[in-house]
Amino acid sequence: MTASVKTGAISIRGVGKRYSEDAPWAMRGFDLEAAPGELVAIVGASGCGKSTVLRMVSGFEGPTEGEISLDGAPIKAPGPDRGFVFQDYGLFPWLTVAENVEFGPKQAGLGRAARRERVQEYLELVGLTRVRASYPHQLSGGMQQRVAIARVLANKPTVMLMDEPFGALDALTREQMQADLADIRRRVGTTVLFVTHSIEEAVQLADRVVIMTGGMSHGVPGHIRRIVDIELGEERDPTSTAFTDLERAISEEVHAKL
Amino acid sequence: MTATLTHEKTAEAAAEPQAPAPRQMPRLRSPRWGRLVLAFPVPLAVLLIWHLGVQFGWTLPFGIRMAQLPTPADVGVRLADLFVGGLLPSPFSGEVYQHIWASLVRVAYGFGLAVALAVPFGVILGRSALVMKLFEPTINVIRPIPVTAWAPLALIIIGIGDRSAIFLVFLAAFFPMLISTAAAVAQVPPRLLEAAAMLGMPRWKRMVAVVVPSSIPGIFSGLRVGLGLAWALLVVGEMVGINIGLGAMIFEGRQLNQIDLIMAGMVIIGVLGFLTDRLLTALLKLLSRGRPVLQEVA
Ligand SMILES: Nc1ncnc2c1ncn2[C@@H]1O[C@H](COP(=O)(O)OP(=O)(O)OP(=O)(O)O)[C@@H](O)[C@H]1O
Ligand SMILES: [Mg+2]
Repeated sequence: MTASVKTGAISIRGVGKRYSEDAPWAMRGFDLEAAPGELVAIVGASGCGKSTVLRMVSGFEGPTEGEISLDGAPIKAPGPDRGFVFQDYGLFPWLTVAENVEFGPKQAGLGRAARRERVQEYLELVGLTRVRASYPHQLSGGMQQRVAIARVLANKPTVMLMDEPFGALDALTREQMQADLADIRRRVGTTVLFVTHSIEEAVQLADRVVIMTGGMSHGVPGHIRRIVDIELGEERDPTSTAFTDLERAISEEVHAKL
Repeated sequence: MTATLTHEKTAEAAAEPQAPAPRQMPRLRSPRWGRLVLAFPVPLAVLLIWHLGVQFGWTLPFGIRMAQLPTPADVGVRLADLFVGGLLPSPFSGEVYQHIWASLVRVAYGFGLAVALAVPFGVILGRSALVMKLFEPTINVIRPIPVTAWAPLALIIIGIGDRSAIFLVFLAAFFPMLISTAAAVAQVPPRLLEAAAMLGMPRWKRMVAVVVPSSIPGIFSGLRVGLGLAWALLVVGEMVGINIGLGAMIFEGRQLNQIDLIMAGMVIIGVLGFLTDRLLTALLKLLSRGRPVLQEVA
């Protein structure tokens, strides 16, 4: 991976979340250290708190207990250093593709010429220069998600948080997006936290897979069951035994009884 | 009109280069031409029935005695006289322009002031639970009072004249715009606000740069309702103590028992209401510069 990566270390220590005083803990006792440039996938049954973890790292939600920091600085509020890619894209429908990508750099106070360059750079990265003047509703889901990724990366974030980013896409588009994400990440070197329901996707993309379990419907706060290292190198063949073995092992952990 | 806009946007979207060529649908050679043809039969029938009703002295439900009415042709002559003069012996001959102008100015002031206050206040109301809790009970008590019921009070506390007419126009437009702005703004997808936040936009700026564009459809339909009510209350407001204005002209027609003058005034107000509504739509289109602001967000 990129050698120049120094920032983007996420530290999550003893984090727990309850959404209100009288609500049970949605998740609790969560510890995770992600190294700069690492891609950590989070898998687990619905309701175990995957999105909650991501939203706390982004600053949309605050943890009820524990600490989350990025490169040593505690996280207080959302910010452009932690880009968020939503499952439903969240593009601004009244802005063109280029303007959506320009949104962050504009907030950062970048000058007009620098912004144009930045937009061009990241539209190229996601292969969307041709539709720069289109509006989001004119694009396919896959293209919209590319715009959302470019929009986040245009801020040169140290962390990218992705919550089931390809969950709404068809299988073919999804495969293409996975390949492209792997490629993009090699080039930008951002730390990525990636929530997915697809174990295959997790094994395909991740350096490590966090398996979560529990959740309020189980009467136990969501928590980490295990963290699995994926040591398959850069070129991963989903039909190889090493791949399918990992997939099966993770699947068993995800579906095992508490 | 919202439907028309949305429709046109969809057509534009289908015409995008990267979209596959849409299959050719069988339809009228020109949809505009088709719409024009379909626009005529109903009004023509209404005019015809009106004419026959007057001629044969029909009595309609509500005890509407059509014999009392002028024919459509009479009203046509009156309209022509109002605009060019010399057809009827009337102080209004060729003098309608000043009345139209006076009414337009009152609507512009009252409606403009209402927009300037209702939209920003509506944005705050819809986005702040505290402000909503503070004002909602008061608004809910004042709002159901028909604005027409304010007319006598306005005459007393403001006095006869321009200002009380403008006040009524303002009041008529204010509440529907306030309510629909607040409702629209409260429904902004939280996702868009989160997106703006994580892209580094401060909270106050999100109110303007995300909340407002995202609630244009709701705000805009409030403006249209408000404009319609502005015209309605204009007529009420101009009926007492005002000499120049379409409402005053209609009221004069009532005093003189010139029913064709009343009806000509009604026609003019109807047309002006329609035109100003069109103007509002055109203005929105101009300001949005082709952006899909009225597009329903999927
Ligand atoms: N804003 C909220 N208010 C109250 N409870 C919430 C809120 N968001 C999430 N929860 C609850 O917290 C628990 C964990 O939710 P979360 O969305 O993090 O799960 P998840 O693992 O992402 O599930 P899924 O796979 O379905 O997306 C759930 O029981 C959910 O109902
Ligand atoms: Mg989730």
